[in-house]
Amino acid sequence: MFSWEYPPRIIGGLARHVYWLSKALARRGVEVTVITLDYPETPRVEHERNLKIVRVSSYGYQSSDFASWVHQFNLNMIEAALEEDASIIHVHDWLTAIAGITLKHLLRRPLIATFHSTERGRRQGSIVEAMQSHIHAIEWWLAYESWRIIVCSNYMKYELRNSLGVPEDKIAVIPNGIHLVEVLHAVDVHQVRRRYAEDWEKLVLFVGRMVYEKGVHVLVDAALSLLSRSQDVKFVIVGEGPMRKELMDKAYRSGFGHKFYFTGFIEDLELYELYRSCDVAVFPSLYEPFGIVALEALMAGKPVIVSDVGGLSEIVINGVNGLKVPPGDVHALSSAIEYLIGNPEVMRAMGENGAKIAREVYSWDTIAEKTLNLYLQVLQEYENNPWKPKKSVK
Amino acid sequence: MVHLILVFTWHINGVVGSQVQEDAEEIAKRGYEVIVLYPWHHDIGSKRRNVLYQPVAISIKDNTNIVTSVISALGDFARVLSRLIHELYDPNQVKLIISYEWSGALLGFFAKEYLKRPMITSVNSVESMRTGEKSLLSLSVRGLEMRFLHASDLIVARTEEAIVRILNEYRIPSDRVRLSSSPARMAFIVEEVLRTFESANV
Repeated sequence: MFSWEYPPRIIGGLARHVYWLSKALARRGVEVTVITLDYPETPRVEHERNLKIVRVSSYGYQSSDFASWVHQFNLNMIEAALEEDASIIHVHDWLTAIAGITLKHLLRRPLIATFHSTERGRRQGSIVEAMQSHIHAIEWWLAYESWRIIVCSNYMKYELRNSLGVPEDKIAVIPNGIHLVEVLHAVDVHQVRRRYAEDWEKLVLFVGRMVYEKGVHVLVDAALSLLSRSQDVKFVIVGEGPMRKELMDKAYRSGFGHKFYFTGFIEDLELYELYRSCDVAVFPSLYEPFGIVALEALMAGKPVIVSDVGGLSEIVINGVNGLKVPPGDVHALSSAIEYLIGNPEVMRAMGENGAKIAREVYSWDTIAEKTLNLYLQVLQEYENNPWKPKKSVK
Repeated sequence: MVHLILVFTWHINGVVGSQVQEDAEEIAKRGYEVIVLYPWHHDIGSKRRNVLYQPVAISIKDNTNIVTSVISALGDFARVLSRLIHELYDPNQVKLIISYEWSGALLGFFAKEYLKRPMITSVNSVESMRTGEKSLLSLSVRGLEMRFLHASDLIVARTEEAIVRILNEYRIPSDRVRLSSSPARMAFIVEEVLRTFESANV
């Protein structure tokens, strides 16, 4: 399994996905080797029963742009992988596509790719610059070369069909999972809340990268609209990114700066405490292939308000475990927050429903079982395929 | 038993392309089956006899620079190599990899690693001879050039200047560097490496 991030190296949601999936597969008896990038003070090779982590160098070489850097660590991944023995090559996103495709052909092993998002989606449909075209082309190539493709939502399935021309029967929809134990650990809610808000304030939580596609600017505008009518609410905005300073400035210039808490990046434990302690979680993304953060909030028993887009739209059942609003609609978002925080009984019921659904559908054991079934299906097809090599190298 | 020699090159025309074609013909004359893998090009001039020219269709045409172009072609070269060794030949028939310049060495290195065969890299020029720039791209090429020259079992410099630079700039041990200005000399070096490798494996 190839991923450019794996804990403790965490850039986005990919690290957690590969971490929990690899562990859950290993628990089911699959021998998993994860090839990923190095991280300071982390061993190059780690073993945990039948899970092996191999970290290759991502530093020490010059690169003139992001793609050059990515491709060069792919060379290191290929070199490391040639020392391993695998029945299936599973890559996550375009970042490890070169390694996956090269190894597929060298070793003649089936390639499976999980697409967590696409360049066209991340750019809201616009592929203009040379780098974007390069990444888009690699995504197409990865889709073409893969035996099967995994996506986390029906939304992503349609995106791959429309953006990369992938036949639907090549795509398996397996949602992202959620780890129960950490989200549900014991929390002193009262104490956690006091770190962020007054006792009489309702706590509204956002978690995500501070980038345009996450719609955090829509939330700030909706919050300012709501605060002009009612001040018994505090907005905790968790995450790092290029929009953070601009939005902090906007909040403070409005005179409601004291109603916002921009935390930046926080550790997982603190994040789970916040999920358990907030009143409602808001995810107003403009583009969201899945929306793992919404699932984490649901698992913690909290109602969510999401934009009716992508994977978020599939996770949330309107009026059952949360509310959906049109993406980018400041007024609708502001009204939805106001409605929920003004109706504690509705919030409680939605939170309970959400936790129940999340536990049943999105546990990593369920996801690993679905992934393993796909592996077995691919291996069965591979065994009867003339492409399988007849002779090995001596 | 066919003795197969695989040649990896990014250049099929120009100075390096001529070296590739002339060397391949000379080596083929000595009884080896030579296959040249190169990026598909509409015209490679007059093809030599006794040599199989195997164009590689390149999937990724939108690239940001030469480094992304070469590395993103790796999967295509692997696809063609795979067909050669798993369908048309036997992987154990491959005896040697010859690569040309840093780009060919990068592409050939993974065949060397997978097949566990020696690799000779022919170097007509190094990056510092091609450009005096210290741009990030040039530094990136230098880094790759150093890495894959060090990974080669033997380097054949095609000019006096190249050998000096390989020794001084990349600190390659002198016993792993030869000078050759002719296809005949290259073919002689190839046979020398094959003999050494075979005797080491007996």
